[in-house]
Amino acid sequence: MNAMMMEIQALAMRWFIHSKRRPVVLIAGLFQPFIWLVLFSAVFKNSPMQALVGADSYMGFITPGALVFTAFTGALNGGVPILFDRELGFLDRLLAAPLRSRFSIIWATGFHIFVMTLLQCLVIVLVTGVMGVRFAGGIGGVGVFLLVLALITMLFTTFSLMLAFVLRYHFELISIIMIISLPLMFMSTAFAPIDYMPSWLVFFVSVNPITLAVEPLRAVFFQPEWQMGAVLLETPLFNLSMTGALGVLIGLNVVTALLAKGVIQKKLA
Amino acid sequence: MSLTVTDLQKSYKEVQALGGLSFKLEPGSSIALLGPNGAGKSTAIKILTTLVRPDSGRIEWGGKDLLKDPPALRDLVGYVSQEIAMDKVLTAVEFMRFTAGLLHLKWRDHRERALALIDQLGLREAQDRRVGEYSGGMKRRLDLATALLHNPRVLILDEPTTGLDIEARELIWRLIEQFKRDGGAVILASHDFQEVQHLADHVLILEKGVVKQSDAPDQLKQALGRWIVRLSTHEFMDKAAVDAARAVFAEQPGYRVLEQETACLALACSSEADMGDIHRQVFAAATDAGLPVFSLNIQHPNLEDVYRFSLRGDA
Repeated sequence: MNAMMMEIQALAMRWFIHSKRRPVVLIAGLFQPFIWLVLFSAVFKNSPMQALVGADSYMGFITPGALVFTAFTGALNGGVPILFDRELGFLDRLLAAPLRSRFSIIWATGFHIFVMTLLQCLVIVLVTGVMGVRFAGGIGGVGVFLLVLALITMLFTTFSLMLAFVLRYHFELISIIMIISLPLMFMSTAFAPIDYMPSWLVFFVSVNPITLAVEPLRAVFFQPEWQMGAVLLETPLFNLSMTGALGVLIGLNVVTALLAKGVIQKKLA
Repeated sequence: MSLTVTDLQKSYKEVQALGGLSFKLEPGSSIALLGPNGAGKSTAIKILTTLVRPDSGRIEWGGKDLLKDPPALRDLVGYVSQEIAMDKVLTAVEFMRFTAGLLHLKWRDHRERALALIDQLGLREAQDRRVGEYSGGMKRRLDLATALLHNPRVLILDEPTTGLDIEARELIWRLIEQFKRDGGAVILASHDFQEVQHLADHVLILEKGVVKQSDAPDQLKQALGRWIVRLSTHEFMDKAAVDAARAVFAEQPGYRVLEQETACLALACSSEADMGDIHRQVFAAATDAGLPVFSLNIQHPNLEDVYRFSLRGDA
């Protein structure tokens, strides 16, 4: 194992031990998506089915949204422990260690969040499965499922960690998370189809990374014959295909990573 | 190979934090940085641990400038910070394993050493308890164990025994002395004069980023004088009383008036006379001049005297 892998493994192992010793964090991360699944399903039980693309029930419709929400919130909170480490002086210990790359801290955090997100999503898939929501996408669909979760996790983990190096205190980051998380979720197709959105909101919904993650997931969940090039979402601006959605998510990851690299390098210089 | 630090400088905007720190540290030797808050000790340590980049200067090991290769500098150094920054969720053994990973050490090859260090520092029985349950002293000891895990060539200690009881402090001192005997070099920042006297071969006294004094502790003390005399003419000496006493001893051969201290006049005396003779001389000089003697303290200079009078410009 090379030096960088050893330090990533050590850093990630620390977070996994935290998760094992404090399972409440993992469980609490599941609580909100389940509340939404249950409550929203009850509230929108009688909504018109024809508008709910591909799903047999509203719970089915919002299951991909709940999965993306789980990944998104876990990732967005990824910077909080780093800020705690900074406030408590532990980050200095890491920075004074002979790390081959200080970005190992980022990789380890992202990996831990991704694994935790997968565990949480697995629980959601199993529970919603029991309640009648079936995954129809096959092996290829599982690949897309994992890719989407990885992309959304890395995107918002990077963003959160970048903020963690810019801000000084964890409550500042928590405030920002609170400000951006709900609008991003509700200005997406996670809980309602785009046809339900007022026209002024459609642009934001169309370019929202949450929408770009939810739509491919929804396709592989409910369309056995899903195709990479098929149109997933028709908007007044463009038609979104799975290839397009994944491409934009990859692009956003690259841009955010470059931005974060610049910011973090400057802060760690 | 020795560590050579040359003319380290660092400013934060208009404020000079370090104005040209230089020293050479041989294997098996130690240097202490002394100074009040804001003297530049922390800045120096942050530069030496690569947490802060200096504006200029060099840190060389075997002729290689390590400021151009920060990971090599980090490999060289073991660091115990002033703040006890530990992960409270991990156990001591897990924390050592975590540290081994950061140092790129295979756990199976270094587990024995990690456990030996834990044992040496008296933490064996608590090694599987979470660090969050440790006392401050236990955390400090574990901190030192992690700093020593990779056999660093240079150990940087920032207030390593603050808040420890005597037993824990002496345990840490013994380990540091052992590290020196094994050829390691130590850089120590401390406010504890006894600790500096005990551990340091060389002392740098800093003030506002500038080195005021630099020498071996005994040399610094000898330079101050053979005796330090503190005379009080009243229980609470005001400025007028100090000035009256100062006028008497300013002309006294062999005596040098040091800067005013609180409630006494401090004198440095270079006489070879013994303590009894000094006592008689000072008492006689004071009473002959009509000054009452409330208290008279005579001692050889200690490191605290050197520090105190260096910062006042007397040493």
